[in-house]
Amino acid sequence: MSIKLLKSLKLHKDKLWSVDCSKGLMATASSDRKIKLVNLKNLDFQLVEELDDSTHKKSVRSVSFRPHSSILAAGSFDSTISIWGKDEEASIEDGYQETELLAIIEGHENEVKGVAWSHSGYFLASCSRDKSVWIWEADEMGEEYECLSVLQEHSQDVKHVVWHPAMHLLASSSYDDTVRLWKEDADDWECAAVLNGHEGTVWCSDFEKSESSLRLVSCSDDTTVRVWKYEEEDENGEDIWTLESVLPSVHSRAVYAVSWSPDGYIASVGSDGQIVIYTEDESGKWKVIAKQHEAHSVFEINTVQWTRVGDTNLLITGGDDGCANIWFFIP
Amino acid sequence: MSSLLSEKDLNDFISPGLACVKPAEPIEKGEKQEGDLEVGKESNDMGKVSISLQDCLACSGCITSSEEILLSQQSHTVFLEAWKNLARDTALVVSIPPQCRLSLAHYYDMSLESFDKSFLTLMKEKFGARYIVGTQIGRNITVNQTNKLLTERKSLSSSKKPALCAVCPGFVLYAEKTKPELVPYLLDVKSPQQITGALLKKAIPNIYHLTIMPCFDKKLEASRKDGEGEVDCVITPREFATMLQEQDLKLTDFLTSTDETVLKQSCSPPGWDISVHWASNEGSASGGYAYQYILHQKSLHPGSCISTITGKNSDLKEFRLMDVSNENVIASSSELYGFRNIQNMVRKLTSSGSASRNIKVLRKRATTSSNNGSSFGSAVDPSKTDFIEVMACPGGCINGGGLLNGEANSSRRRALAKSLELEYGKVIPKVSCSDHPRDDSTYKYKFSAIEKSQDVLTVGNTW
Amino acid sequence: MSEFINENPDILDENLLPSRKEEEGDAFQDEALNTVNLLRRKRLLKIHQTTACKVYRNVELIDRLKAQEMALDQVPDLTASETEESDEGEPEDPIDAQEIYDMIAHISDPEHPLTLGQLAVVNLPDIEVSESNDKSKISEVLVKITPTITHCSLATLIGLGIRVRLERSLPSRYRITILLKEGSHQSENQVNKQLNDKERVAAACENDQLLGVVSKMLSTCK
Repeated sequence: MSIKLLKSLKLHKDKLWSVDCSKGLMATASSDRKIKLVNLKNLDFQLVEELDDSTHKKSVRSVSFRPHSSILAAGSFDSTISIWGKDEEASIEDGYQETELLAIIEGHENEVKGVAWSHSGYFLASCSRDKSVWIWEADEMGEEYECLSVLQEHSQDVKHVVWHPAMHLLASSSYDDTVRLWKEDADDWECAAVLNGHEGTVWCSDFEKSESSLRLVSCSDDTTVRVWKYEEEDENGEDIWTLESVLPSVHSRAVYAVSWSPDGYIASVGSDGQIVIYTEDESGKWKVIAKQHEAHSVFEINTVQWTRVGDTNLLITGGDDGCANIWFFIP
Repeated sequence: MSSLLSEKDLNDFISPGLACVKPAEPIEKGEKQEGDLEVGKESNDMGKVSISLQDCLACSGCITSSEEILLSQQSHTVFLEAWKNLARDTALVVSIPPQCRLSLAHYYDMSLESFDKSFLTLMKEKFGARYIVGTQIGRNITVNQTNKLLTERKSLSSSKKPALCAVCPGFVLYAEKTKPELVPYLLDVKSPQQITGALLKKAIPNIYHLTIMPCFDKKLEASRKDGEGEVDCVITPREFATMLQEQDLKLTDFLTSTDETVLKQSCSPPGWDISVHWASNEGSASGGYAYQYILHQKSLHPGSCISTITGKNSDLKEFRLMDVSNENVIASSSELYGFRNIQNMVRKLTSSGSASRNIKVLRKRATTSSNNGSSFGSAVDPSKTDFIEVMACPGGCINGGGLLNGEANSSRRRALAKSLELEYGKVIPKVSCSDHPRDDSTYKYKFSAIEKSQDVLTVGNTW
Repeated sequence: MSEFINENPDILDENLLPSRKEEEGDAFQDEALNTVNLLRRKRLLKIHQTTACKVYRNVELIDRLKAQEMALDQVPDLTASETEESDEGEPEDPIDAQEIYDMIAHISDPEHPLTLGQLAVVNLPDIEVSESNDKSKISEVLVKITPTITHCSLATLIGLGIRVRLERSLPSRYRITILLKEGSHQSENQVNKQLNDKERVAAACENDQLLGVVSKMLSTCK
């Protein structure tokens, strides 16, 4: 089992914080305030477009594509979220489609750290250093936004938000060392569960892409990667989650991102510059099956994402060197 | 906003060095020489930190924890200390609004009448309170002055629309501190808490006014410079219950067979009608300001009718006064509770974002589909009404953070709040606000956007 | 704890601070001292006598501070070439604790007109470098700071200043950890967490006000 570098794309002049992929297109967010779109199809990795860098006044920290559309949300340290899209009704004769700014969403008090669209494309979640998670509702065109809920239960900076691939269940990771799960209730959103256990800032989490079990992987400053499992709902209507396992220790420093692939592999990256891939040996027991040192030479790695292009499974990482590295994983 | 701030949060006492950046000044040594630049050679006897509301609001550092320090200056312990040291000629006067009475009655499992009687007896016998009043007279004034102002503004096209109710200190502080663009929309009529205090001070010289209020932000309101002397101490029902527990007092022990009216009469200041100040009015359990405005407008337009429309969620409601003959809207007001709704309203009113950026033509297509129907559209849009009753807490004051709602889970809290709200409507007698104008003095706030301080300490706190 | 470690720092004399006993450093200073500064000395002594100001008593110190200022004006070329050298990337020799110390000891305290070295906020023994000799491998730098009585926000500002200075001066392979010296501050853990959170630091560096304060702090670095 090995990880092989397919291509290293030097896209940005400063830290590359986040990537997201949809329909063969990859979007990247960076401290250089640019958002770049790269074509993954045919594995040629050509730069398709560079979005207007005067939109955000500070680093772009997070990007997320809206499912079933070409709409992209980008969260920035300037406390706003920008929404971009293409005019899908324009005729093909118009040639090169320029992605345009559709809306700017304000509301957070300070840096936006994460944005994520639900699987339905219905909700947009955002989180910030102001300790809150906001849930927004968008219209079909992606131009009008209304705040549905402001969730202020974290006691510190919220670093990341991610939706379940099939349900309206949201996970938020925070500087307060916890992960919180949120679900809809009557006319508001509420906290369904709190995952305690990490001994440092939780940087990122990701849901298992499975229909039979509900699990979440999270990674933290404490150098561990943990898998949590949903057990049941208790008599008060609260969800019970338990820590299923702490993955074998490989990282020597903070782990900044994790991603759970549809075929069951977990990849983690962090400050030590390593990519580590784990698989489940037997239910609940994980082992390391691949490691890549210095995946971005001496730089820290901020994000990792599994994606599928045609028949090929790819692993994408983004680092402080401003590069997006595309990897082949051969199990 | 500290709508979710609870006593539990206040228990972790955060020392000034950690959260608040106003330095603890060392007690000055005898001869302090000019130009002494002694680093670190400070007296270990720190003077008591004294922080004014302005100091706190100016520092953007610890939005909730600075308030925590201020709040701790008005706890039940502070009240007890002050009460023990009351000068001989200073009378203790207590005021309590209907939401707190209901919450406490529910907590002690008593009927409202039993609670009122026990409360009055307790305060009178145990604490020697001279007068104990309800807040409706104050509220009537708030309502009447609000209606008067709004009616005047309706004829002037220059005034900012919609006018925002400033009775909720959580919202007012939020606006003054973080959204200065909203300050011009605020209607500066004081809240029942402050007006009741002003009336009491006018009626009786030399009093210590203790009030029991549904949330902690009311304490901050009492500390405002524009309300100096009106209220001496605000405590919440939660603190009240704790205080009784600490003093080993059982409220039920004070339930007397004395007639309720007689008891209330004996505790009322001269000239205060108990059938008024212990009552409430039609409208929401947060004071009913939006509804009272529409009622007032209705009285000015005979033949009109009121229609009530609920919005996207249970915290949004709109009242419209319709001219039956031509279906036109004569006046409208709305109830808007909770931070999520406040956010949407703020964005509509300040709308800095969209207009100035280069948002392209794509928007054209969107607009045609949403604005169909009547000129108003049937959807609730508070920003298009004349007046918005804004409350920071979802559910309004009946779900205040200081009430004795034992539920930890937010949806169960809402359920309890809803049942209390129903009780509020049924159990408390209603008066008509306009029938009992008390006086025409103006009771106004002085709002100002708080300027953030620029010193190193404050700046250092901003990341 | 009732007493902070660095509560009453003795302000260290500049020339008593640990340094590589170096040529250039002292050379131009001494030269400058011999000229106009004699006059200044006299003036300062006079001020000292009238105000009884403790700092001014330490005339040597003031001299050094003033001389640096003047010297820099007098020898512009030297300064320029010095900065060029550090910009080129990695220096020839592996970086050791003394070098890290030299980079950060001259950062000014945000409140007082004195440097972190003089206030003993940074001390040579509290700096550790684990060098890997291989330029393609990660190396680690650990700096422990001992703030004087400070509020959280000042301790974090000092830490931020140090981090910015080091991040700008060291090659990317260095992982920088800044911690408060054990027992030196009431909310040690809280401050440590904030100082070592790369995202918080990155966002802080985009905050104009903060950056202004930090720039002022770094302006006294050589």
